[in-house]
Amino acid sequence: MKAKRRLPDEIGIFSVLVVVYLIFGVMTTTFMTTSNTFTLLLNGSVVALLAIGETFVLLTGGIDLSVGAGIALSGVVAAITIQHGFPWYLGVLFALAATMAVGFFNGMVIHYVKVPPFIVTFATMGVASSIPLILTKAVPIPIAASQFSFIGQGFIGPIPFAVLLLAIVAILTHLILSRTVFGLHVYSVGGNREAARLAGVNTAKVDVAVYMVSGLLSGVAGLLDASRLMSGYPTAGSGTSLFFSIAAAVVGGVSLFGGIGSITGAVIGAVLIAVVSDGMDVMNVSSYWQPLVIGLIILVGVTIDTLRAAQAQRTSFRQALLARLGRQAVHSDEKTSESLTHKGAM
Amino acid sequence: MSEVPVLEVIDINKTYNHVPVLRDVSLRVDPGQVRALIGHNGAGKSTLLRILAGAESPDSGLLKVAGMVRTFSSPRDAQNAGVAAVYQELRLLPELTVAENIYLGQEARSGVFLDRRTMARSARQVLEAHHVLIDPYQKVRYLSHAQRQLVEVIAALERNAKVILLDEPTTALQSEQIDDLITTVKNIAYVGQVGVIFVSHKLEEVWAIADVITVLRDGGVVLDASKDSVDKETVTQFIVGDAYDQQQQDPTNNSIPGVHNTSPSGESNDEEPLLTVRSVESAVLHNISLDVKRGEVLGLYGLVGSGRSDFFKLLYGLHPLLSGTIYVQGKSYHPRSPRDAMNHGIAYVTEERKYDGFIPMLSTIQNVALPSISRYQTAGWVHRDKVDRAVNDIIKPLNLRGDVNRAVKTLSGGNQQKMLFARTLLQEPQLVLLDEPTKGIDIGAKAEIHRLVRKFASEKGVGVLVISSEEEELLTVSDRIIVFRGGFSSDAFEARHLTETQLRNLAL
Repeated sequence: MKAKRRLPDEIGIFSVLVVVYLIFGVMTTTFMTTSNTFTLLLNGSVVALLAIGETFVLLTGGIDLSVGAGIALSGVVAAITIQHGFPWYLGVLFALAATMAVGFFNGMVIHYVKVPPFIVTFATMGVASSIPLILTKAVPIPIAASQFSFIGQGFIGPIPFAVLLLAIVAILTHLILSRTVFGLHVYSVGGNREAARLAGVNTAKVDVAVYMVSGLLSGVAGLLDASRLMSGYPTAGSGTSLFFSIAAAVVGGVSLFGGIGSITGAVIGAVLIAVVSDGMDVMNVSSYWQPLVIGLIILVGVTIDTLRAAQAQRTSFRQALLARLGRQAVHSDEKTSESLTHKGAM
Repeated sequence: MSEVPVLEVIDINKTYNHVPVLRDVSLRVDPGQVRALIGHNGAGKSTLLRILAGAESPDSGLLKVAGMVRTFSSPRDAQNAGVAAVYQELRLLPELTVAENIYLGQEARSGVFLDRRTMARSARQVLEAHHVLIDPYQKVRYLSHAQRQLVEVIAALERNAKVILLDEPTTALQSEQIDDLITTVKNIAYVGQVGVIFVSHKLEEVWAIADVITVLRDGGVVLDASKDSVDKETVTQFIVGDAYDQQQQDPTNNSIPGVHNTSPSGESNDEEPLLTVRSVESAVLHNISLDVKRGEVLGLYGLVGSGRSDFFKLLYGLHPLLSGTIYVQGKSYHPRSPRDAMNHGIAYVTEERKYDGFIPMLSTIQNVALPSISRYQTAGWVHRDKVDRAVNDIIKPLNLRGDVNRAVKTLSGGNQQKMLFARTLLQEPQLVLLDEPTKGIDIGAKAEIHRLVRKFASEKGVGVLVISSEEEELLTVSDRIIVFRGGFSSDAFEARHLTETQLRNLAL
C-alpha cells in the first residue's frame, strides 16, 4: 500500500522564493553572488529562528507574541552575566534559561488557566521587554568576551556560523516534528485537541513544551543578535522581528488554526522575507517600503491559508465561489456533515 | 382543507453512494397544521429535513412553498422562501438580547442608530401574543434551552416563515418544558397560520402536538394519516415495520442466532467478569450496576439524555465518579483521565467522530497509531516502518477503502469509522466502548461494522459495550441489553428474548 509520491505542500512557496530570487538576480548584478546570498541568510537568521519556534506554537493552534521581547531579554541577560565576570558560555546558558522560563510561564498559564494564548503572550511580551529596559536603564551593555562574537560573526569556511546554526536548528526541529512521538502529538493537539486528549495525548506537556521551544529559539536568536552587535541592546527585537516571524511561518504554509505546516515551509517563508528585504536594499529601495511589500506578501499568504481552512470545512474554493454566485449547493460531503449539523437527530 | 398548502413535497428521491435514502417521498403541510415526522434512525428523517431546509438538494422531485415551485441551493434560499429550520444546536447569539436576536439582519433603525426600543416593543408583542414569558431585553445566554428554542421559533415567525421545521426539539428538555413548548408551537401554528414539521421519536409528544402524522421507514413514506384516524399501536407497527422480514435481507443476521446461543452467559458463570460496576453515582447517573464478561457484547439502550453516553464518559475518566465501585479485570479502578483509562485497557470510540474522534489532517496511519505510538518508539523516535506495517496489518481485514497516507478527512464516514476500529484494535484493549458506532454510515457499511463488533468480542475475547439508538442494530449486535432511563439503569435482558417494541417501551 505504498502511496504514490505527491508533491510536498511547500513546493508552491518554494517556487515563489526561486522566482523572486531570480528576479532580483536579473535586475541587479550584485544580488546573486555567494557572498550576498550568505549575507541575506545571515540577516534573515534571527527571523528564521523565531519562525521555527513560532511554528511549534502555531501547530498547536496557539500563538507566541513574546518572541520579539525574548531577543532583548536574552541579549541583555547574556551581556550582564558576562559584564559581571562570568565566562561567555554561562551568559549563553542564563540567557537561554531566561527565555525558556518565559516560554514555560506562557505554556503553564495558557494550559492550566485557559487564558487565550494571544492575551498571555501579549502580557509576557510586555513583561519580557520591560525587564531589559529596567535592568539596563535603557543603556546598551557592551560585551567584552571576544569568543562570544563567534556566534554572530564567525565563519566556518565560507559559511557564516549563524547560518550553519540555523541550518542545524532547522534540520533538528524538522526531525523532531516529523519523526518523533512529540512531533506527532504537536500535530494532533493542533489538529483536534479533544480527539488527541481522548487518544491519550498529554496535552499539558505538549502545550508547555511548544512555548518553551519557542522561548528557547527566541533566546538563540537574541544571542545571535547580541553577538553581531557585541552588546546587549534592551530594545533589540522590538521592531519587525515578531511580525516577520509569524509572517514567515504563515507564508510558509503553517496554519494559524493549528495542525498544518512544517519547519521547511517556515524556513522557506523566512528566507523569502530575507530575500525581499535584501533585494530591496541592493536595489536601493527606501527601507520604508519593506514592511509594505512584506505586508502584501503576508496578506496573500494568509488569504490562501484561509481559503485552505474553508476547504477543510468541506467547501472547495470553487464550490465556495459557486455558492457565492448562487449556483450550486455548498455541501460536497453530506455524510460526514450530518453528524455535525444534526447532533443526535437520527 | 381547500387552502393552498404552505409546503408540498412531491416524489423526492435521494441517493448516497448508490444507497437510496429517500424514495418517492411526498407530503403536504397546510397552513396552521402541525405534521409530525417519525421514523427510525436511518429512516431518512434527517435527510428529508436537510433537503427541506436547503442544506442539500434532492436527486429528483419537487418542492412547493405556498404553491410555488422552489429549488434551494442553500439554507439562505430556503429561508428567503419562508422555510425556517430550528435545529437542536441553536443559532442564537448568546451575547445579544432576545429582541436583537429576533430581528437580527432586519433591525429597526432610527437614522443610523439601532432603535432598540422599537425592536423590544415589537418583540414583546409577539412574545406575549404567543404567551411566551421572556423579557426581550434579556441576553440569550441567560435563557434556558427551552426558552431559546421558543425565541428561535419566534424569530423564524418574524422573518415571515411559512413553514417551520423543528428537529427533535424536545430531546434536551424536561417534561414541563416540553408541555410548554408543545402548547406554544401549536398556538403559533394556529394563530400565525404557518405550517410546522415536528420531527420526534417520542410518540407521546407526537400525540400531543400533531394534526397529521407521517411515518418514514427505509426512506419511504409508509403512513400518512391524520392523528384521529390512527392509534399509537398502529403507528408503532408502521415505524418498526416487519422486523423479521428485514432481518432476512440482512446478511449479518444469518450468523447471529448461533452467536447468541453460545453467549458467555451460559458457559462461563464461574469466570470473573471483565468489568464490574456497582452502585455508581455521578452528577447524572444514579445507582448504576452492571457486569461485562469477556467475549460479550453488552448493549446500552435509552433515549438521548438518559445517561448512556455519560456512563461511557465516566468509565473513560471524562466525568467524575462520585461514589460506587468499578473493577476492571478484578482490580479496583477509579477513572481519572483518558490516559488512565487507556492504561487500564479501555478503548473508547466516541459518537461525534468529527468532533472528538480523530485528527482530520493527519493520515490514516498516523491516526490509527496515535494512541499506541509509544509501542513503536525508542527514546521518542518513531520507527515509521514498524508503524506502517502494524497499521497496514490491522487495516487489511477491515476493507478500508482510501489512501492510508492521505489525510483522514478525505475518507468517507464509513471508512472513518473503520479507521477508528483499526485504531481500537491496535490498542489491544480489554474493554471497548462504542458510542453509536454506525451513526451517519450507509447501510452497506453498517452491516460490516456489526460483523466487526461481533468478531472483536468473540475472537479477541474482549468485552464490548455498545450504545445505539437503533433498536434493530442493538438487538443484532448485543448478547445482553441494559436500558438507561433518567440516569438509572435497568437489569440486563437477553437480547434474543427482546423485540424492538419492548425495547422502546422500556426506555420511555
